[in-house]
Amino acid sequence: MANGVLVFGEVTEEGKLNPVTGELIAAGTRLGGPVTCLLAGSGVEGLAQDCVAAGANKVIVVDDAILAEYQGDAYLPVAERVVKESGAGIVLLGQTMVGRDLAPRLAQRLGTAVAMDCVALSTNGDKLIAERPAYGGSARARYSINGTPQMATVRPKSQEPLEADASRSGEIVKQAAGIDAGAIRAKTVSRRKEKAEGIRLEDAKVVVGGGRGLGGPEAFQQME
Amino acid sequence: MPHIICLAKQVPDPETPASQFKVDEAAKKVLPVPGIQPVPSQFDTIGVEAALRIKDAIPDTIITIISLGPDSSRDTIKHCLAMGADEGVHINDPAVNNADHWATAEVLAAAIKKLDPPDLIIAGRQAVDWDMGVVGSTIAEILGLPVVTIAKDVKFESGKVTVERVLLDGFETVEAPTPAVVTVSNELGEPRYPQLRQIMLAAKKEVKSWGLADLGISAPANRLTLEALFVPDTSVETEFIDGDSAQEKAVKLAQRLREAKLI
Repeated sequence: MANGVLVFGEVTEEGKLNPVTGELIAAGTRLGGPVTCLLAGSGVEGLAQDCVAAGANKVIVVDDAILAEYQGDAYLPVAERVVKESGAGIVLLGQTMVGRDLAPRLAQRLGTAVAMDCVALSTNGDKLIAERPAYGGSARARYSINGTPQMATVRPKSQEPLEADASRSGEIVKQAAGIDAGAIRAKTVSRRKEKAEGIRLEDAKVVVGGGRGLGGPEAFQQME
Repeated sequence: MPHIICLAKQVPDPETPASQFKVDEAAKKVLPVPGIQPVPSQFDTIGVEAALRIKDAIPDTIITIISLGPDSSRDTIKHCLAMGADEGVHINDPAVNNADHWATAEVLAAAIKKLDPPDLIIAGRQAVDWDMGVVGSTIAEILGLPVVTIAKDVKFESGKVTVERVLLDGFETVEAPTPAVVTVSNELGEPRYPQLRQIMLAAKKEVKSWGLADLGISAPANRLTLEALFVPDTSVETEFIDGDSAQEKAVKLAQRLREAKLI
């Protein structure tokens, strides 16, 4: 892919790489690469090597306290600058709470378009072909983008990550965030987490479903 | 006197039974189903609900509905007026009948600029036909306004909007100076159902009809090319495990799961 693929890495609350990062890196590799991963956050420097192990050829780390939690007005100028400097032909983000918010704004700032919630990506020469569900999943639409870079957000778990390989090598560079705090207009003033019990469905390796044939709640305990 | 602009799109009814959902692959269009009327996109009516809650608190609030679409979009505007909005603007121009999200945002932004300056612009988080979720944010960027997405609560006081946003595992409260764009999610609640009195009042409310010439613009370029539209094959292979007793079936199931490397 001319000028490579830039992917937007994400970090979980627990300070680990969000699995969507590896999925985006893998997707970028399959589109021809080379893959640069932007890792923005606070205290994320240590995860750059994990991005390389996941297949990134280069990692750009932007580590700053102001990026500790996602705020569009702080992340947007960083993403815009990194994308422009990279000259990447394709930019991928996850269809996550961050990606849903950041990608459309980033696309407009870059004067391009983004295909959201894609489940399949391919290329036709240098053209990205992005396939996504529409009409509540009843239809599938395939798009190409008339703009540079060609952007897509990718549905988590739709792309197979590469086998993590600690022996992979890649370039890791650090950049200052360079954010003017005064430029942040929409400010997060508080957050309220809702503690969920047990394992989240999205994080489970295997999901076992039971139906009416089980006869009642007790049988579910047997399933456990 | 606060002014809120709500964006509303008319879409094919998402309740259309799957068996009747058909796509003309050559034309790359969803085929309208005879007898099934298009409806306002659900998240957009939730946006109108958010505006009406502000109007409940500040009664001299004016709510303007803007809809871009063909003749039938007028019905969507009427529905929103019947919910309690005050006036409508219908942008109806064949030149933008196939506008993509970016051309749509440019046209809507041009319309917004022609109206009395709003304190808030409210849109649904995504339209329930294409499910893209880009127009609200794109308009904010075009107009240089702050944007807060996926809201479950919107409170307005002079100069400031306070939004409770939905996160994956909780909520966050975001404050932004107005004018600002807010996109709303279903967590905000059910849109109020038009009552008879409001339906009758709505008939008297003004709906302006504008073409691109009224906005002083030509049709903006599309940035997306729809290469293909199709109904995906959703056939599923179900394997039935048989056996003479529940125990036997259970043993066979366990074996199959091991073979499939699932356990």
